[in-house]
Amino acid sequence: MASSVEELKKEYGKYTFRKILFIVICICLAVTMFWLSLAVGTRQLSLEESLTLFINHLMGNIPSRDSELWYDDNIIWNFRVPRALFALIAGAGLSVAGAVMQGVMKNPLADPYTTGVSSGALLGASIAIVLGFSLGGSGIAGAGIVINAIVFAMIPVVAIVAMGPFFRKSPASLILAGVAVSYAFSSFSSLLLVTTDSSTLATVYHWQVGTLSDVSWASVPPVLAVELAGLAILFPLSNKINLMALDDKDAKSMGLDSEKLRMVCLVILSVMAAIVICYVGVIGFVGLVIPHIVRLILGSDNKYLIPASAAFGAAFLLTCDVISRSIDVSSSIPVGVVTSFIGAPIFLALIIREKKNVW
Amino acid sequence: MMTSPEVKEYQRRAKKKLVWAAVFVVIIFLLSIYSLSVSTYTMSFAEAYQVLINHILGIEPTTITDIIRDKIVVGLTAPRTIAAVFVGGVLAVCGAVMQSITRNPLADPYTIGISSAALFGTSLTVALGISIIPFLGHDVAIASNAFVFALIPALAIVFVSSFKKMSPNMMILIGIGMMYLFTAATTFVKFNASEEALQEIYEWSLGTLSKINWDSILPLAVAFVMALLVFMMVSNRINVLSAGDNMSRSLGENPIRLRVVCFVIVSVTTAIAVCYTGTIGFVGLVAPHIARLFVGSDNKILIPVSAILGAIMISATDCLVRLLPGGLPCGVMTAMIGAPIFVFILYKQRKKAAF
Repeated sequence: MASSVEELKKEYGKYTFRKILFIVICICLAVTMFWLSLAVGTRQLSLEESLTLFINHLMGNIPSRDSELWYDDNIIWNFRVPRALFALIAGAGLSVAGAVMQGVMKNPLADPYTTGVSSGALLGASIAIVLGFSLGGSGIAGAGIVINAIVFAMIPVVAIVAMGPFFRKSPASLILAGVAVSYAFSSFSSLLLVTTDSSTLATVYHWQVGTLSDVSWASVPPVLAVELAGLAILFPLSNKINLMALDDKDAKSMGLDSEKLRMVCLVILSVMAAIVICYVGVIGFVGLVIPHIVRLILGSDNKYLIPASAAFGAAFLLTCDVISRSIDVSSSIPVGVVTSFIGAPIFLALIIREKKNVW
Repeated sequence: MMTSPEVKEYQRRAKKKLVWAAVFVVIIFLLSIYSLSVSTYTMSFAEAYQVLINHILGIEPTTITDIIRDKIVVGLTAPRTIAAVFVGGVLAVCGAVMQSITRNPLADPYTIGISSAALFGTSLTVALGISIIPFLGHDVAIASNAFVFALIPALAIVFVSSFKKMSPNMMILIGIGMMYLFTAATTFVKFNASEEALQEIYEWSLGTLSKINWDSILPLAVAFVMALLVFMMVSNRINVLSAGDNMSRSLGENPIRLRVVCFVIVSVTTAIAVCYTGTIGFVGLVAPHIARLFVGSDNKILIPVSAILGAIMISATDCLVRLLPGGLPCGVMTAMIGAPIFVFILYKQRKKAAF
């Protein structure tokens, strides 16, 4: 008897070891990519140079304005560091949001935008770009888009929460309400876009695909704060989210109010997604597919799925950004395209190779 | 013979469903007749009707007004009216079937990646001038490219399922993978495209009936009849599928084979609709849900009622599009009007479990 308990423990230890190993590898990859991303771009620096500059800057040794190094330091500190940080944060945030959304909605097709956040943001951005109207007053053009996008992104969420008392809060009803709201919003943006001239359409289109090239230090703190807060709330909930895989009634008999938790998660996830897309546009793929990839590798236990999605998502988005910059130094290939091009084949290969069905 | 109360209850419900179906049939019939007279040229529908009758009977129009009316009704409104019914029907039937066979309320005809594959085919033609079948006119090249590419995701699923047992969700995930690949490829193609080409691609992706002419009616009719007939024939088997794969196996149904066959038929018929109209969204997802709220989830009645509701949605919005100035794409209007109605119906029927 004792030996079988020992064996079981050993087995379980192996089981968790694999998962923790995966997370550690992802974190190492993220750190390496961060270093690499400092060196890659229009101004090519060697890895040592970029690392020395970065560490010197952290230590407070900022090169003086007249030195040769000042220029490189400026590039690294004001462009590459915020961009890399943003990619890490956005990747982690969107992946976790996707993983949790799929869990609480019990639907593999769900992603962070299921509640209509992206179509709301798109409408806000279209209004700012096409009509030149922004809620933030007559600020800088870029800031106007951001403010509009985030305000409009929250409207569908508020609508769903406000409609909450009048609906069954089953996953299907909530998803369908979200889909209806997002269709309504995208039809309004389509209306704007169809009537506009083709160069404005191209601008909106580029916003929509999602690119990290406009990220500056100003956008890092708000996103970092929101994503960290979101992750801090969601990590402890992972056991409860596991329970939600059950029928709502069974979950209730285990002492969990699924409907309430679902609504709470919905709001948190939407805010997490909205803050990211209002700065960089609608980055697709990451939120939907990264959780699936992690699930195919590690299984569906949310205790590991959520942190692993965060680590893998962060590493993945930054890797894609580095690749998009190194292929095309003028960074005109948006990161949203690279994510699909690299991620989709991996995803398909994993599905085909996988013996068991994780969903 | 005494009928038990359960049987009576069942008959009462079945009758109620049939009444709803009849109501929708009447609506689509009236709407189609009305639709004949709708265009920017004002014409009462009695006149439009008369013109059509005359044309069918072979009476040549004599006055200038009659010739203009004849041109408008026969050349413009009649084909669009018919196409609206067929396209709406195909999309809604395919949506209903997809939702049933994948057991997923979010599924629609495009779930396995048809729309993005077709969009990629279209972008190839519009932006780069590449066409699968050479030496075609612009519009025909777009249609043929869209059609051919739209079939690729289904072929991939058939291929994979030939050597691997897959749950419906895994099939959907393959579709999603394909969708992202094609979307990324489309973005690549669009990146170096001219702004005019971008606009044309964008309008195609919204979906419109404005490119319909008499040549498109026959393929659309074939698609519609094929989808409706085949899926009506297997509706009982699709019902069994919704009980779960293991249960349906024990009832003598091969769930994976049935699902793959359904995917293929959905792909072919949807591809035909899409290549003439572009990717009209919303209808394929929402028409079946509205139908479900009225007649329940039994595919025997759900499939035909979805077809009628889809036809109603597209016909109604196409009428509006023709009335309004600016030539808006049909796809925009469908969602704009349909979404609030859908939310309202969801709210009204919240006590019934549709899914």
